[in-house]
Formats: sequence, structure tokens, C-alpha cells
Amino acid sequence: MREGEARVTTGGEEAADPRGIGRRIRARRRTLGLDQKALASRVGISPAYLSLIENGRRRVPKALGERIAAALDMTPALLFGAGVGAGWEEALATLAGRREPTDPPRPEIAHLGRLVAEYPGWARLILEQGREIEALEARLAILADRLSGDPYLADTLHALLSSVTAVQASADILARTPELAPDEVERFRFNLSVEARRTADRARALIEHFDRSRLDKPLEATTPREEVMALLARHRHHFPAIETAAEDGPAAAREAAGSIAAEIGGALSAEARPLLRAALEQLAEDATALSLSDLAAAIEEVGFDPVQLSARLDLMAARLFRRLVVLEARQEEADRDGLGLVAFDRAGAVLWRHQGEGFALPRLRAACALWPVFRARPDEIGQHQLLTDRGTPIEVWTAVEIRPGAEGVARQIAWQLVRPVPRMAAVPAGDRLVVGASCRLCRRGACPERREPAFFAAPAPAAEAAPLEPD
Amino acid sequence: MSEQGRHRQEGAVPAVEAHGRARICLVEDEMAIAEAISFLLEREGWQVELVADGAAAIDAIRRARPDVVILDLMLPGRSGYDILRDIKADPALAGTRVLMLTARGQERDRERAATLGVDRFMTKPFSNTELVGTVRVMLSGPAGEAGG
Repeated sequence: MREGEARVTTGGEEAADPRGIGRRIRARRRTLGLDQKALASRVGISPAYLSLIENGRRRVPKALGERIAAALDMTPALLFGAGVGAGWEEALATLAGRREPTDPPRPEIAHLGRLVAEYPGWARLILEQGREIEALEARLAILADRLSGDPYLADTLHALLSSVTAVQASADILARTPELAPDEVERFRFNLSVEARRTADRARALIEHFDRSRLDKPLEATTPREEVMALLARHRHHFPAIETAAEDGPAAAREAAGSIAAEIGGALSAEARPLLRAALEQLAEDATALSLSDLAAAIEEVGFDPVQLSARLDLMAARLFRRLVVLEARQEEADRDGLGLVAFDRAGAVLWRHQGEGFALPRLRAACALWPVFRARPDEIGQHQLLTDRGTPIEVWTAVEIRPGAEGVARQIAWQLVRPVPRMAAVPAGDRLVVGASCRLCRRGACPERREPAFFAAPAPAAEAAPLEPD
Repeated sequence: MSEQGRHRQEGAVPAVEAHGRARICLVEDEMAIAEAISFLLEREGWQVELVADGAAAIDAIRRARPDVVILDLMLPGRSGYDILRDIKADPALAGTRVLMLTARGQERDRERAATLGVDRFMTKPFSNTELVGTVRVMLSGPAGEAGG
């Protein structure tokens, strides 16, 4: 490449989104049947330089962009992607990868640049619909959980059907048997009245149950523990009063936890309140063990690296994970990574949940068995790079917390910290394990751990491309 | 299937013909439902024995050797499936046909009951006429005609 080239031709402002521009150039060039060498010589740059541009690794100076556009018989505005939101092409490519039909015609990924440039309206519509579908799927996930995993609903419906059966059978006998003896009439009337009342009670219980879980309210809570987890998540597990009190020692922190429990626990069921208190006391104990400013200082030094942080701060990994989540809650929204934290007992029940960004943590039961948390070992902090079934690259750390258990059997609680990797960071997808939240909503295609069929049959190509991570 | 098929063949001559009055064992823990069903069956001239507890059911059935067992799926003590399995495994009860009642009409329950050799399957709520009609068919029809 002639080194001076870029400098000589830098006539005006450089355009943003070099990846989009590069992709449009390549798409148009191929449409015209030109090779890199031919186009490069037409616009007076080296093929190597053109290759860098097409790969989005060099910004395109305005004057050069205009020359390329002229050589490709397209307007500069089209080449620079005027009126197009940043990241549209990446977002569309992700959408296409997620929903690629098995039969042709398939989305023309190679022409994405032209789609966005020439039909920005259509591109926008596709993107918006993609987002709507995501939101609906999230809602469906919650409802599906609710229907299949809700023992209260099943029991109540069963009881309701039983009393309806008794009402129907008794009423039918009374209505259709003129020769009934007086004591029989008495007996069936009595049964009818009792069962009619039970029917009414059970129907009312059912309505209340649905009322508690109206769609405009958060749907997380079906059990007392779920209630507590949902409430703590709404506070992002961050309680400034606990942090302040922790500076005065463990007793003060515990006391603060107690008053917060009294203050915010009112909205919970009576059964859930002791669980809330225990969780807040846990947070208070954590706060006493490590202040947020010490944690922030350590991150400043060694970076966001739980393995090193745990060693440097001499802190149990599970506690470090919880503190990292609390620290993040204190930051400005724009500065947050979107950390998620989830804890399971060894039977797979969720004990702690802090939903992060860009990925779904398992809910209720039936978590994805591929999550590293289910292979977590007590003696180490596991560290993994994964992809979600939606194509989001994530980093995951796992740890096992040992607590005193029943009859001398130690309790093992497995924790998993999840951090989404910024999309733009180049991630080689090929060798990454692809995980979902739970089978019913997973887009991963073939899966040896699949225990339930997915609602959506469309295979995720990313999953097929990614062999399992060796254990 | 082969074992069940054999049992059914042995029971091909309805026991009703042998001892005249049909005997029905009703295993149901909901008293209001049990009373209604007993009344309906007795009115047909059939002899009804009621068992309200799942754990006691199989002994009562072995003692009574009924022509038909009406078996609720959800019982205290023991599930209807377990009782059904015991009935079908007992050669002495080869002539006994089983009508399973359940408030859970899911395909899964139906299939499981069918696998265990249930003769008829009925979901609650049922109509009285339908119930009596089904039992009548079970008492008179050729044995082994599963359905429901």
C-alpha cells in the first residue's frame, strides 16, 4: 500500500460506522462482479487498503468514500448510510442468524449493507418487529413458567373440578329422580349446598390467584422465596442504609438490615418476611466484610477479574459476587455492565436471582443444564466464555459456597456471576458453549441436555456451529 | 400387552352372569361424589362397595372381587395408578374391569392409565347418565374393550 494514500486524500470529515460502510462497499462490488484489485485500482488505492476498509478496520475519508461510490455507481449518501442508525446492520445480522429459515430464500446477509442503505424504512421495521418479538417471548416465558410450574394453580383447579363434579352429580339426582325418599332428598340437598359453597370458595381462590399475578405487575413471585427475590431484585440488592451502618460494625449492619426488612417487607406475604430478613442480614454481613470503596479500589487495580479480586481481597467468591452486584447497582446506569447473579442449591432450586442485561437467567425450575453453575466445584472459581442462545457473548464465573447443613451434611450453594460482553468486542463464536435459560424457550438447535421441546422450532445456526465446550 | 390380553381373555365371560348381581367397588375420597355415584349405581340394581382410602383399596378389591372398579386417580394414601397396576397384575382379578375417574384430563394421564391397562377413562365432571351408561357397557360388553 502506498503509505501516503490516506493522508493525501483525507479531504473532509471521516464517516462513522466503518463496518457498515465496508460491508456496503463489498456487497456492491460483488454485485458488480469486481474483484478487490479492480476496484482498488479504479479509485487509486492498494488492494490491501481496500481490504482493510471492507473489513471495517479503516475509517473511510469522505473524499475517498466519494470516489469509491462513483466507481461503484452508487451515491455517496448510500455508501455512507445516511439516515441509518448505528449498529443496524449488526442487529439485523443477529436477527437473521436467529430466525434463518431452513429453506431458501434465506436472508441475504451479504446484501445487508444495501438493505439498510436503500431501504432504511424496511430495515427499521424488521428491527422493531424483532424487538417486539423478544419482548413477547420474555412475557411468554413468564406465563409458561406460571402455568406449568405453579402447584397452587394445579391443586386449586383439581379441587374446583372435584366440587363441580359433586354439585353436578347431586343436582342431577335431585332434578331427575322424582321417587327419591325424603332422607335421600335431604342428603343430596345437603351435599349440594356444601359442595356449591366449596365451588364458590375455590373459584374465588382461583380469581384471587390470578389477580395477584396480573400482567401489569411483576410476575416473578409464586412462592415466598420468589417474592423475596423479586423484591430484592427491584432494589438491585443495594441498600445504602446497610452500607452506611456497616462502617460501624456487624451489629449496626444487622440492625439496619432488620429495619429495612420491617420497612419494605410490608408488601410481602407473612411467610416471605423471615426469608427477606435472612437475605438482608446476608447482605449486611457481606457489607461488613468488604466495603464498596475497597472493592472499587481493588477493581481499579486488577480490573474486573473475580479470580484475582477474590485472592487479593481474601474474600469468599460467593460473597465477592454479591458485592460486585451491589457495587454495580450504585453506578450510573450507563456505566453498568449488566451483571447477573444466580444461586442454586444442589437440587437445582433457585435461591438468589439478580437478573442482568442481555441474557435470561433461569426461573423457577428447569434451568438449562449447560450453565457452568451446575458443574461448579467447591475448591475453585470457574471461569467461562459462553454464548447465549440469542447470540450474546457472556462471561461466567462460578463458585460453591459451603454452609452448615442437615445432620452433618454440608449445604452446597452454587453461585454464578454473568457478565455480558459488549457486542462489538469481536468474539470467535466457533468454540463457545451455547446456553439458554430453559428448554422451552431455548433457540439452541441440537442439544444433548434438552429435556423439553422448545416452543420455537427454528434452529439457531449459532448453536450448530458451536461444538460443546470440553469439560 | 400380552399379559393384559391374556387376563382379559380369561375374563371374557362376564362374572355378572355367574353370580347374578353385578358388584362394583367405588374407590373415591370425595364423599359427596361417592354418595351420588353409589346412589346411581344402586338404583340400577348393582351392589356397591365404597372405599375412601387409597391404601385400603386393593385389599377391599381382592376381597370383593368386583366386576367393575371405579377408581379415582387422586386418592389419599395411594395413587389410583398404583391400585390399577395391582389389579391388573393379580390373576384372581382378571375379570375385573377398571373405570378410572380423574379431574385431570390431560393426555399424559390418559396414556399412563392406558399403559397400565385401564378399561375406561372418564374425566370429572361427568354426567350421571354417561357414568351409568359406561358402567353398563363394561358389565355387559365383551371384556377387554378399552376406551373412554
